[in-house]
Amino acid sequence: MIDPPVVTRALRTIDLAVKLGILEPGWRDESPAEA
Amino acid sequence: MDSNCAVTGNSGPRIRSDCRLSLCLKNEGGITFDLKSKVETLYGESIRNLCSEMLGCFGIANAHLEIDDSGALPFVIMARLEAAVKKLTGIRIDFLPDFPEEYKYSTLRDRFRFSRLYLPGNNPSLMINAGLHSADGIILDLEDSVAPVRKDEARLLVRNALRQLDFRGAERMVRINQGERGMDDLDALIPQNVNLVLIPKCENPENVREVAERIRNILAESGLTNPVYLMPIIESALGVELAFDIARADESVVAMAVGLEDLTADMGVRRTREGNETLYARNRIVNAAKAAGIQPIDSVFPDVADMEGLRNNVAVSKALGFEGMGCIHPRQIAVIRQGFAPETDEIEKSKKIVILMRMLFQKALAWLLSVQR
Repeated sequence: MIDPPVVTRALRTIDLAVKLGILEPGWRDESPAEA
Repeated sequence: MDSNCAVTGNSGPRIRSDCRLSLCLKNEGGITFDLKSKVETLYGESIRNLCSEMLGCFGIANAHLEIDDSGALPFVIMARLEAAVKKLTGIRIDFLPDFPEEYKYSTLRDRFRFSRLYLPGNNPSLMINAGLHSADGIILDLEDSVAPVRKDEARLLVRNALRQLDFRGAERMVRINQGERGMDDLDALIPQNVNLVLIPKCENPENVREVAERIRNILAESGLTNPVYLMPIIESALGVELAFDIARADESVVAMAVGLEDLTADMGVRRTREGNETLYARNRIVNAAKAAGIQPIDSVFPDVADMEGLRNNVAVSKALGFEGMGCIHPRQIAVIRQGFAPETDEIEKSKKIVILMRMLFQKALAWLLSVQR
């Protein structure tokens, strides 16, 4: 089971990385895990 | 000094973008000038015209004005002259420079506050290009960096700077003074679209509520709608103990900072590079801020020449849970910003969690749809 704070933190980190330009906003579309 | 004369501003070999202005009121003779400036040929006439117009607005018909100019922009000359007039006459009229619409931008409650650059409130040369450094916030400081006898003229300079300088999207911050002087700072500065007010040496929730209430009244009176957020600075042992109450004192509090120079002085200990003497205080402030849902912000790193020390300090700060830090020199901004940014392994782990959550959600949705059929 995934603990909600872990998910919140992950979402926040992703948000931060996108806003700082470290991660492309469309990273999910390029992710092989989702293909 | 003659009681009919007042001196404001600064001059000297190391002074840039400022002027020293001496105003002496007379009974007759009209307005006379003694202007020393390297740019007199180009701007002498416009400086004299500006000052004459201002003196006319203040109802002064006879005076001698000496200006030792070191490249001051008009908003600086205006602040210096207004301060001199107010010193001599106590007049309450303000002479405000233009305020372009594009400087009246708002801010967000949860925007990043990794780096906030402190600028002394009575030093125009450091303010003028501050927007170029890409700090998350620019703090025009009226408290510790301004000598007590210069507080009034600094307030006018900061007011004019807020109306005239382009901070390029950085959060427009002001550190006010303590007590009644701080309330006067709010009266003068809140109408100039301040995004965030830093409350120094905050020791109890009442300090915050008093500031918040005054700001609400000023906003209501002036019809302004942009929010003004608060960042109390904890700088005493008592403040540390009451950190959670301070963090929750008002809904406009969005962050809480720690000031380690004054905190260590209050505790009677020496501030060290390792910072063990303030570990409890910093932990407590982080915990209080997180529990209250606001951003914990760390103290400045005082040695501007030691970039490696700063890098290590940021790493410790981030590990403790802080989400930003003060800067006292533009060169510290990039290191702080980089230090607080998420690391590669942190991003990769987060991506996996988000992808997994999305897969689980899709599976749950598919199951729900199949059950409904």
